[in-house]
Amino acid sequence: MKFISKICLIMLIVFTSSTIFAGQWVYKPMSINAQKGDVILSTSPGFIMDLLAILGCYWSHSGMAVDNGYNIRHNTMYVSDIPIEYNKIWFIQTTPKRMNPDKLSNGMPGILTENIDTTYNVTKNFAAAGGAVLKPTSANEALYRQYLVNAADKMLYVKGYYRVNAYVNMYQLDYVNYYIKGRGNHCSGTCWYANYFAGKPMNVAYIPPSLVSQCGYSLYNSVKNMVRDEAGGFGSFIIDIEGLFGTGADEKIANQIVNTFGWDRSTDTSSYWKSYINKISATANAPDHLLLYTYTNPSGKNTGVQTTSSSYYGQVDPLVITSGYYYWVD
Amino acid sequence: MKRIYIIIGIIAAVILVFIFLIHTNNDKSNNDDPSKNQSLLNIFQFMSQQEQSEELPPVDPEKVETYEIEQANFIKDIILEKNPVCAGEDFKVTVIAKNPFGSDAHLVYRISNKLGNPAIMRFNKAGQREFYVTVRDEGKHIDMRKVQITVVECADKPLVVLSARLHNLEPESAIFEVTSQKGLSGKCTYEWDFGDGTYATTQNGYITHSYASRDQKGLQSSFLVKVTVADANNITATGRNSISFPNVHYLSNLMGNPIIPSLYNKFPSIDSSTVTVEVTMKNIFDEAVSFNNAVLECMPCNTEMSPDYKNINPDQLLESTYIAPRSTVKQLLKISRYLLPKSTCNLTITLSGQYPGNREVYAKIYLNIPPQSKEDIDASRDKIITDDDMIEKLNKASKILGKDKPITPQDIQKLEREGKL
Repeated sequence: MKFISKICLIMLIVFTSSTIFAGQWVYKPMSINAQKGDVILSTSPGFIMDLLAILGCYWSHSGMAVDNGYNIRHNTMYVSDIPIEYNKIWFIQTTPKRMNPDKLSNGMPGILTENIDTTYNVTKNFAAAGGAVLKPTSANEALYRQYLVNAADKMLYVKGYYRVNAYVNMYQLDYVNYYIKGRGNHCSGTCWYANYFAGKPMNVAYIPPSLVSQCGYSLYNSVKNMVRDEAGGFGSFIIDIEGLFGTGADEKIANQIVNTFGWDRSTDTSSYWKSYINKISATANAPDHLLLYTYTNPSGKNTGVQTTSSSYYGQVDPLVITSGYYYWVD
Repeated sequence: MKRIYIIIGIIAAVILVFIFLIHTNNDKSNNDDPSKNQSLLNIFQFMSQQEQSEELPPVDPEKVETYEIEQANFIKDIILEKNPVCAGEDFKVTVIAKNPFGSDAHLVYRISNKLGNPAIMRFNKAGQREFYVTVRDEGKHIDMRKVQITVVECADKPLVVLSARLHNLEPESAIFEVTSQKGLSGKCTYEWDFGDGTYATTQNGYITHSYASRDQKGLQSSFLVKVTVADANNITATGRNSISFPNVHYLSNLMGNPIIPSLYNKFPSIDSSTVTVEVTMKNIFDEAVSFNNAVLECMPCNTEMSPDYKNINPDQLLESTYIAPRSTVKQLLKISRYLLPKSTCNLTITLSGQYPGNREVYAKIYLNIPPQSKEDIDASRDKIITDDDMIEKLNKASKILGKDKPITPQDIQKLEREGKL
């Protein structure tokens, strides 16, 4: 009987141990078809897209792959996180006054690294639909990849705020890995700088004063419509009441954003920008301006901003996103 | 006299305490800004990182080549479907434009905050409203116009608001959702017209739709989407919206390296000898495509290791390597497993062939091969599941979907919605 019990016990141990060590479930994270140094282009909706749309841009956001398809480092700001400041009568909040100027000028989180799961699925800073990967041509891949890996390493090191004003003056990022108030860049400006820090100054788009002025008006209208239509019942009531006493909140916030965009005057809710119509130009790259156009149109013109000598990026691949998945291993 | 000094001293102390309190309060309000706290830390890190602290000069803008964005005259007319419009009512805006620098298909449209042309717009508040229309080409020409429209309050009538957005995980799909419906009651039926010749009927106001098989004849493809909602009393109301996709494959041709769209399941069938997947390849270009080379890029499960490349004849993979202009070929792609190193987790197949203009045309297929053993787990990225609830769900899902099939989070969500987990 004792012998049988022993056998049963051994069998039980063998059975349970084989259950415990039979295998395990493992999750393989999401990935995209990018290699270290490639630029990822996206059409993420929101304020920044509206802003870029003023330049007629095809894509609204960009970032750089900092490994082979699992992580993107990019520069962005969460507009919804910017606190609204209110007018006060004694200690009582009354009507909206403006967006917090410091947080509008120095956008957070700024430059950050996100894995593909997070950026496409949680924060949704990037959207798959209409996405693209900017990479070297197949012919140049072997030669250029080392330089792009170097650019990605620079991108990994550098830190900075998201600066709306960088759309007018892109030259405001330092090679440091800490935040400096008043310094930083926008998404494509940061990608440009990663290449610059790695020794490759890509070409930059110059936008003449007449177009900057149109951008200013368009941005002003876009923000005003957005505030007015999305303020909701009580919000629009406040805007209407404010309108009786002077400039409405929609106009104030629209002015503040245009003043920040053009002059980094984030404290200014006046129509300051209107006195500079046709007077300031912009030197900055939107995501589209990172593209190389080897295409020559029927007029024989090369219409692109980048040339084969100014950029390592020569090919645009449609984004392919591979879902994360669970698998069983014995 | 002594008393005066004491009073002055007390006043000074109070002022100092007051200033201190204000300062502390400001610090508290800035606590959500991690940069403040990180900055000092980072400065020390920066000081200690000799290797990275090499001096890089700031950009000298004079030395950077710039290209001027030019004003062009693309926009010929802007047609508003109606003016005035009711507050909350959708209306169509159509832009008529001509491209003097090249093909009209190379124009990119933006109507207010909507990509594409035509676009459906809506203003919720009455008044004289303005928006901008922007048209640009693939390069440096841009045109912009201001549009004014009168928005008026109208008597209540059944109203459906349809939202349209690009899918965040599926590159060629969109998500449509009825976000508001007024004047309708009871259980509703939703009839969808996706604007690409396809239709669907649902019992709820949410649907996703793939536009992957669209014709890519320009830089953008725009679709007008319509949903007709019928309630229990057969009262109907219609909501419209527009959606636009950048045609990246079309753009790839302009960039000099045409890539043809391919549809396939990223998780192929795998048996002991072959990896098999059904592939639909659509030649969206005006020239025939004939593949004469295939490169297999086999990524090891351990992503720290270098990939393995193999050049093979595409005939070894496909029955047909020829695709006529503007046509589609659907076939099985088969890869012998002996071609793949043992620990291959990602397989990229690049098919290439000659294309006019001394160029090459490509088709790219990205496949996942789930790891087969513990040695294939990439400890730096893969996550071992230890949560008992999740393990139970995965075990159940595995029984339903098949033992060796990889399970995606979307599979889990679907099974949960169906009450099967």
